[in-house]
Amino acid sequence: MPSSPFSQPRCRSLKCLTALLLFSLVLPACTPKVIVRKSPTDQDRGIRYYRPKPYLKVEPAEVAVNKSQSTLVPGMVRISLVYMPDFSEEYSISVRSGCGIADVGIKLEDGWNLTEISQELDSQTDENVEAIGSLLSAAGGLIPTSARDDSTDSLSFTVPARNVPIGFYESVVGRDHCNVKRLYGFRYLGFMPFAGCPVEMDGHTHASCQDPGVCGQHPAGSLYGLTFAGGEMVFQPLDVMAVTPAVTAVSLDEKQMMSSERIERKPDDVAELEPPVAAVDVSRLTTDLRAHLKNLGIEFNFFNATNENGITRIRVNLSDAGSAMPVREAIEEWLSQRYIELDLFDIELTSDVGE
Amino acid sequence: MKKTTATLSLDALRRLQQTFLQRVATRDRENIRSVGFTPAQLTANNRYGVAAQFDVARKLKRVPQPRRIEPIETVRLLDRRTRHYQELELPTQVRQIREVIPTGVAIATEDDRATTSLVVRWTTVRPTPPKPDTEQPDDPRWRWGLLTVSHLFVGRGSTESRHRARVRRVAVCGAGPLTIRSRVVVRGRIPGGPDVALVETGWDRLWLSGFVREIGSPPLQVAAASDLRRWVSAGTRGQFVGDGVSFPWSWQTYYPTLSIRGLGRLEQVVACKVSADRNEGKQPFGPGSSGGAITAEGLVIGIQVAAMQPRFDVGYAQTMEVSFAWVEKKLRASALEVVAVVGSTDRTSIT
Repeated sequence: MPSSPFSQPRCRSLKCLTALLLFSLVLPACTPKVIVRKSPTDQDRGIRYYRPKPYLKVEPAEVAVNKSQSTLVPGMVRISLVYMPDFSEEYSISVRSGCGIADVGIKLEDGWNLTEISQELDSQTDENVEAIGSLLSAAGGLIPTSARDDSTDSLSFTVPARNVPIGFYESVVGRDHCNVKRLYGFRYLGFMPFAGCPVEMDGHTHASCQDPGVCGQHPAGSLYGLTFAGGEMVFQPLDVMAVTPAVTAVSLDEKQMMSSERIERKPDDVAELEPPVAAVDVSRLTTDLRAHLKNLGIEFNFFNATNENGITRIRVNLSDAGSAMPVREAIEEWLSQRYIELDLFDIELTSDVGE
Repeated sequence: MKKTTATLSLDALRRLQQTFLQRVATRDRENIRSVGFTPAQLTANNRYGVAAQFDVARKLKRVPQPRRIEPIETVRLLDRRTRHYQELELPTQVRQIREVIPTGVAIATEDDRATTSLVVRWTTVRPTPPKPDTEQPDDPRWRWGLLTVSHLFVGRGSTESRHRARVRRVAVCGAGPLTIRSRVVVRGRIPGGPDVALVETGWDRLWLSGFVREIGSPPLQVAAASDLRRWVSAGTRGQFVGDGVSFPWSWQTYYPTLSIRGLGRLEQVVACKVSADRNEGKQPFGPGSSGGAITAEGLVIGIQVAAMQPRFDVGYAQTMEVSFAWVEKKLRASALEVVAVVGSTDRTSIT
């Protein structure tokens, strides 16, 4: 009797092989796993977190009056580094227990900041190691970002300041022409939400220094920076800063010297910090406004603008007295598109005839 | 019939200057350098009028009668409309001046430079196409450039040749290009003028550098003959916008023609002076400032071409009335517009 090609021992070994193959295929799916996804979709059910982004917080400086009270110091601001979510860097973490047990602890601070991951898995498979590796690489190396952390507390200093807007300054990070990420500086945000007009100073997207206030920025539309003038920190357009000699705060006297410690000064009258005042370039205003009025077809005998004690006086002698109202409106509209403080302007309309 | 000096046309002033220059030739040719016209308060009716200004090398205390410049000079002026002569009595001023020299240095080394402060756009298309705006900035029918002085390019071939020029931003701001490459499209003949040159470049470079703030901005107004006439008798105050500087000036003298060493006889030159308090230890119209713009009452008056040594506090500018019209004609442009005066914070120089 000829032996069957599927004799019993052979058949048994084939079954074992098939089972082993199936097990090896199913095993990865059963293994506990931590999955990190960048820019998750709406359907993603993972736990969301954001990468931290450094901001400068500029606030009025305070000194302690007694143990329970503090007061503001006029002319001084405190600058500190804080971390807030970078909404362009969103991640989700999904934990899949599979066939085993996944004891994964995720600690989010303020609901967005991933500060800790602890996990105990019942299987020491390569997948777990890879998952942790991918998690860490996706997180880019976790850094202490809590505002309460000691390391960030030390990153603050108090300096004399004038016309420095209080609020948050967002870090502008971009890639240079070598595709290397760089911190380009900090951009004033104030307490306003994102206004839909970012300027990414990343070496590819350029911003004109003279770009008018299209972004709801300062009247002149310029980019601004913080610098020292006369021993005080001031908020200045970059184009002005480029031609202004820089001085440091080191030249200040002892009382005003830059300090990382709290200032022990007795509060006098607390002066209100004034908002930045637009530097009106009268020459440019005169030529541009005149051109604008001419473009509107407005006829006038005389037009000029002068700066007197911080007030810009715009004087127009009209050919037709009846057009005074529309001309005033046209001037005010033009000014409002470029300057915030319309109180700084005095419009004087006269006419030789028809009055 | 006596004509009031406040209503003199530019042509009348030109003819008056010729008359005075002829008198100068017979009086004191060596000492009197030029004759211009300046605002003066007339004592008779306490109103402003025009005074003839004699620029002299040395102001003398005692001058013999035949060589003397009288406090009031009487001249005859032909009224072209009535074909009758009018007798004018012009008050005179004698001013001692130093040598007036061009302040844009001809390029020989890397260090020489001039200034450009006026951004222009032009088209040769007829009828004139709509102006480029933010939506359609890249309109090839419109071309862009910067105005500067012609004497910058003296000794660099014929006036018709197309030189390359580089507009370099002295102070860098933002991420715009450091150097704007351009080419000389037209330039006036030196000596003789007009002392103006146009270097062409792209709107994108001008915008990125912050020289042009709004692509679709309306054209700036250029001072016309009527404005000049008004200022000849009443004077004005304005602003000089140059290489990273901007300072106020006051109207001094109007010269229908003025001879400047190296530049020849230029038509329609305005002298303006920086106020004393702005001039401490500085040379506002010093070497390299040629090409800067002088403006007043929102009007672009002219391009600075020269200054008086050694303090350089009196600048000389050729009016746009002459230079701008010449450029427009030379380009055969259907439209030529000044788009922007490059502000004091946008520092430029041409090398």
